[in-house]
Amino acid sequence: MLQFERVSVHYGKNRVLTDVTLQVGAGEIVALIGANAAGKTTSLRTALGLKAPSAGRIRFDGEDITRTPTPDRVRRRLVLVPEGRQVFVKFTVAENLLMGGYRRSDRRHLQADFDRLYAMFPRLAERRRQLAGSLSGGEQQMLAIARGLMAQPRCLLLDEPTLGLAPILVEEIAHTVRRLAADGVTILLAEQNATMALSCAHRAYVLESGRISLTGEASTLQESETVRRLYLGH
Amino acid sequence: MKRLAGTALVAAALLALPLATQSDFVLTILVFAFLQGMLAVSFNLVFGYAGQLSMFHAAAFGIAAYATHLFGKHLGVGYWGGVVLAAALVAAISVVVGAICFRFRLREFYFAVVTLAFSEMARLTVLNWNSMTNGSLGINLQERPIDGTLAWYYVALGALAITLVVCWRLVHSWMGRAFVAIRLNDELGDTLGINVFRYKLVAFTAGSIMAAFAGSLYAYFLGSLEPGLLSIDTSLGIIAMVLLGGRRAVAAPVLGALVLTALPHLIHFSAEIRSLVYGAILIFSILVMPQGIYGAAAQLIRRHA
Repeated sequence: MLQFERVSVHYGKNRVLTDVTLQVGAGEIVALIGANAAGKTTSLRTALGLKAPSAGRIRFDGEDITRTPTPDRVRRRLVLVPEGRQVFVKFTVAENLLMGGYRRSDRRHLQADFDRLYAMFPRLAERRRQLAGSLSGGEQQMLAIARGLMAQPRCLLLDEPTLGLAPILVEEIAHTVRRLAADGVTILLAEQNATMALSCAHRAYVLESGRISLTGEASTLQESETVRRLYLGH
Repeated sequence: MKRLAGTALVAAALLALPLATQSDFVLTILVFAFLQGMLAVSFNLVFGYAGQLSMFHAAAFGIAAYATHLFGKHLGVGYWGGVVLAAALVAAISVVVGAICFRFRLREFYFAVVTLAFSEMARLTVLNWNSMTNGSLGINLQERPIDGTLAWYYVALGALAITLVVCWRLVHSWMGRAFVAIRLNDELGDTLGINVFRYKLVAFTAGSIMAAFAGSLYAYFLGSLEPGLLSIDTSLGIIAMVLLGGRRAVAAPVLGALVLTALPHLIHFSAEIRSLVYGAILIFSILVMPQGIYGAAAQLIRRHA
């Protein structure tokens, strides 16, 4: 569904991604694991068109979207949940969710989506009239994910959803990711927390200094010496 | 419902006000206040909602004032034809200025400084293009497209009402939500697929067009054109009205415009002391009421409700 073909990205003269080729099939959960500054965020931002690649192609549904502006990608339901629990802190929970539906063609009829998301995230339902800035870190991350779901993603790009969260919340996010995939959403999950990412994903890519160094089934990678040593800490 | 009733009440009171007073003094102050209010409300669309501190607002106001006269005179389109052409000219200039600023992703102070530079370019052009603008001496406007203070009162009131309705509808639309989202976090706006560049440009241009209409009316009510219309003082005056009135409601800046327009006429001191007193009142009220008169009043009502 989403493909990178030899994508390179530069920030000024610095090359941050080199010849990245990856693909995410429909209905799959694919993990993109790597250390800080390995290029995970850049990969996702490039997928959404927030950063233009200096070489290579990006395809969505087989169609070349390398030059497609971000709003059109979101309209085609390629959606990013950015890292760092980004929410509009001065908007209420409900207003934040509403903004997630901005690119929907049926954005005047979002009530069913609100109901569905509030059922999925009961804590957001309780706080729907509160400012997003008053939520806890975990709740803000849930809100960011729920806002992404408002766009009815067919492919959801999740950038470090567990960063800085307590273990119990990490488990909750993992549960949410699996549930979304079960509902048919394709997911590309960028994570530093390889344990969590590999426990959810079907397949994974390991990103090292902007290059894909390793790829395979999640279960295989869990057993791999390199991954165990570098990312799983045992 | 309450809000609608309140709005209707204020509108009725303003429509009926000339029945209560025929005083030229009062009506004149109100005409100036309404036109300044138009300027402040449209500025607040750009500043208070979309979060862009435009220093180009005075330029839009002044360019339109001059252009109305010059189009009317040289193209023979009359006053109202001049008004429309002037607004179109300002729209075109704003699109160019806005596109440059937003394409280069100028934010906050950088945006303010660059728009100020464009504004100064416009002022210096007006100041030095003697054959057209008569330079620093300005131009006395002979035509009287609207006759009598009472007629002006209703025209200015109508123009302000239209400005308020347009801004209200914009702010309470999806586009208005996008404006606020851009003010709060434009990078996140990008991520959600909001076309940040386009909406900033729309807000900036729409605000400038409304300022243009205000300028065309203002100069003819004043009866003269002078380069000071485009000066930084005008820009600062607009900002003062918005800060004093309030930023978080479409109509709030009108309160600031009323106070700041009426105040100089009500304080009977010598000119020097007057500007001191005026400045002191402004500083004091901004310190005490950071949300403006509107915010302070809303808080007071909430506390007693």
